[in-house]
Amino acid sequence: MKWQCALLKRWLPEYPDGDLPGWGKRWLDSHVPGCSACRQELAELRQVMAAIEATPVADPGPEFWGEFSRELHLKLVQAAQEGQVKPESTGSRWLRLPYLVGAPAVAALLLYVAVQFTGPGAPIPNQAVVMRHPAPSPVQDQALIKRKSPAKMAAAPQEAEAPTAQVRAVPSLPAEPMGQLVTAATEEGGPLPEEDIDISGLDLDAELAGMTDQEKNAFLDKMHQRKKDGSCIEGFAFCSWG
Amino acid sequence: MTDAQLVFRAQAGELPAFEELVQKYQREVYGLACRMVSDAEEAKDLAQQAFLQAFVHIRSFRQDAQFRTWLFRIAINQCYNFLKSRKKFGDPLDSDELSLAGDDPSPEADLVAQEQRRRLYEALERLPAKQRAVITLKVEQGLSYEEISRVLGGTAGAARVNYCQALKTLKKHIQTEDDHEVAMRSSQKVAARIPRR
Repeated sequence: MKWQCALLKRWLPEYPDGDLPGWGKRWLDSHVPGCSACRQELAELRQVMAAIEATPVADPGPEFWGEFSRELHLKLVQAAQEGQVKPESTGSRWLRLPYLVGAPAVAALLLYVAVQFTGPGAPIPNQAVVMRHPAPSPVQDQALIKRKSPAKMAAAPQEAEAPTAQVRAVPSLPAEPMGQLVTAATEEGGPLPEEDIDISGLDLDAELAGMTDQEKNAFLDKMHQRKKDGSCIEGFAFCSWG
Repeated sequence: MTDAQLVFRAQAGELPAFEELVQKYQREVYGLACRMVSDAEEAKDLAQQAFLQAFVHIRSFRQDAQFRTWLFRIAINQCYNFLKSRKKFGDPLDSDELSLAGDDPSPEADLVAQEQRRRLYEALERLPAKQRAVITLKVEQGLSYEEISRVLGGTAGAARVNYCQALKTLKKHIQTEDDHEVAMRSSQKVAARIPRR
């Protein structure tokens, strides 16, 4: 019986002549007379409703309404004179249409651009092949600094200042076994072998700095070709080639 | 003249047509605001503000809805905003203010009714604003659940649940106050029996 009471209690405020479905009314008709708890609940709800109906908001009188109308009239006239009345907004739904269509289009465009420039098929930037160690230790950093001879470090800016002074041959790409070593080392996450450190980005920068534009383009084309062949592997922060 | 015709004329910029609508609904809107904020002066301001907002946005009103429910929705929103700001700034409530607006010439004869009104308003004050709105719209304005859902948002079923919950809470508050009064009276009687030294 209690489960019925719990179900029917929410219909009680509408009983017997409120907004009830036919089956609900029939159910209440059969249940309420035999259930003392529901009868009491119904009686109390009726008392509350009667109390609300018996105490309506008192009419403040004609003087109040006269003042109300005068004040409101002034406000309405002021609003009309100041042109505060908003224009019809039925067209605004159509005006909003470009925004509704445009926002996803802009989002799709941004996504496309992001994928094009940062995804796996992104073009290699001019600094070209930035070779980064996964997490170089300070010892390795020092070794790198030591390996960079002062002559090379000094030569790079000079060559950059006069790129046409000396036409250098395009540096030959590292041999196949070394590329494999690099890839293997990267996959294992361990330190790179000695030979790989020699072809770090700093050396390549120096090499590139001494090239003419044509040479650079040729070099980069080769790089692209290698990449297409699958011999150059690019990761999020790592690129190696064989 | 029907609401639709008056609204049509008001949308064309005829102020008298809108003022006719004001005359028609001012008591209902004022009553709603009174029940919501329990303050006659504030209710007057809120009712005026609701009509002003309705006038300003009358051209965005589409005739597929009832003007009355649209107006109630504006009024309820005004009341919500007011209640929010009052809650924020801590303006104290005074349920006695409301009875001042409707004072009868013979207050002695009306004492019981005033007491009943005071208790009801105190119980209403303790209800959440939405439940107060549902009670007022249902019992006083006679709106159906469908219309209430249009005024307050949500579904008709949600309005029904809110209404039931509101009645139950109101009943509980009124009963608690009755019990409190009975306890007070009995304690006064007991105190009167105790001989003074």
